[in-house]
Amino acid sequence: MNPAPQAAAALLLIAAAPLTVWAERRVKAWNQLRRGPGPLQPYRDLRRLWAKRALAPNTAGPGYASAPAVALGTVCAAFLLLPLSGTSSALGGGAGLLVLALVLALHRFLQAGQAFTTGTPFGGLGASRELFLGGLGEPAFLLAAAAIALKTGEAAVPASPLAASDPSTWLVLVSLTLLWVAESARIPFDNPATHLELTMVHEAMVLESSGWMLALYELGAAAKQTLLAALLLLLAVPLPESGATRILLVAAGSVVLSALLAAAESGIAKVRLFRASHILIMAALVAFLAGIVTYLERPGA
Amino acid sequence: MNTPEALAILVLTAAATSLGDKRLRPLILTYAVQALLVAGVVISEGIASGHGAVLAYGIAILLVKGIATPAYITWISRRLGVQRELEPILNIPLSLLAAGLSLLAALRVASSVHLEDPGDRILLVAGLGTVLLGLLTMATRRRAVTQSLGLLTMENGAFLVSLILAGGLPLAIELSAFLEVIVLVVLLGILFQRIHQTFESIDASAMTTLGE
Repeated sequence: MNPAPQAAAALLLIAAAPLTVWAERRVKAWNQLRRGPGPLQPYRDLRRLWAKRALAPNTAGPGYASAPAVALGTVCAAFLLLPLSGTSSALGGGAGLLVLALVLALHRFLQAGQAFTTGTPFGGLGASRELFLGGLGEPAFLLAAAAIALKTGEAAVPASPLAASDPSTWLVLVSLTLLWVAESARIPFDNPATHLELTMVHEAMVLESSGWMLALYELGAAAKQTLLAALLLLLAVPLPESGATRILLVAAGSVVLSALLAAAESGIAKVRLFRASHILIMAALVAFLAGIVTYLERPGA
Repeated sequence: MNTPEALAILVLTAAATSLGDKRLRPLILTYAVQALLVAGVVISEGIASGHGAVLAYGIAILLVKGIATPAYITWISRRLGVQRELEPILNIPLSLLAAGLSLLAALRVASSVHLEDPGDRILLVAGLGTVLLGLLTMATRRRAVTQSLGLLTMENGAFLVSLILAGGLPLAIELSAFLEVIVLVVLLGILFQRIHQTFESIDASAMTTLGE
């Protein structure tokens, strides 16, 4: 199929990604009886950072300066694995979910790698925490992918939503939602609003970054949150088969999901790192159960 | 999928997630959700078959197992000052892994039984899985309160399995089992208090050594 509409759709979603940041800031502000920023504020923040010089630590390795662009690039590539503008995706073919897991792992590797090469204690601390949580999230994602593959017959992201009346669909969605929260570095796994050394995960990794490099990392984080929200929406919500409405609904849905996440987040506390790992293992167990239920749901089981 | 089977799967899910928590309040809450779902299975069957007695039985389960039992256990544990589970014998990641293996075992056993209706197989897997997960809770947790929750979980699972026997067990037998659960819960409560008086804690592992 023609890759141009796919690329356009991906670009639109990445351009809309800072709106998810706006949505959650706004909801959190409401919870604290403040008015909150306008929708353009995250874009202004990015422009401000983009115009600034980036400083690198003396100890930074050779790939340090290129890491943010490549990390953002992996997320952009991941968008092409979703069937955004039609019935099939531009990349990935029949194994899109597995490629998606691989691309997300690559993104994590690049982020953690640049944090390690700064040679600062916080970078290494954040990176090791990120890899610990990420490594536990991967089995959950792969088990959920296996359940989806068992349901649809191929390991690609399905273009039409999974049957809403099947309990296995609910279990897959629960597991992927937990994973989405973890990958977006949100409470209860991580808190993007603090720089407390005892708790930060994602913020510790990008602590040494500044200027345009930080802008790319922030955009990448927002884009990753939008990417997985879009995956959830494609799996759960019946959308028009193709056309601009489909993309706009996905973009709007990601913003709404982020607002809901912020609302939920305001009511719970961040948990200890080792307790966060329990939640991810639970997500894997739920995904495994989804696979078993899918197996039982087959007509000839 | 029909409503009873879907609800049974959710019972199994609730039982599985309860292995990932050490705090007592979420554990009691998950048990309550589980019992309410079991009541939902019976009520939906009652509505589908039009038997008033089955419907009334479902409502009784809802009131006794879904509301009264969790409230009673909450009251007892508050009285004894129990907040959370001690470090379990099997840590949380390992017990979640064991839960996965239990689910596989339930699937394996249910696949080897010949059943006419595929819906029954789902009930069998959900019921057997819940029994095994309850057993796992009883075997790996140290507090008597948590162990009793495991026992009640097993009872829920056994109830789900009984549903696949041609239209469920006769109502008289189910009612007697139901009354037995009520007696069981009351006895457990008394037992906790006695253990607490004797050992000044309800850590059941303290009972492995003989007292003076």
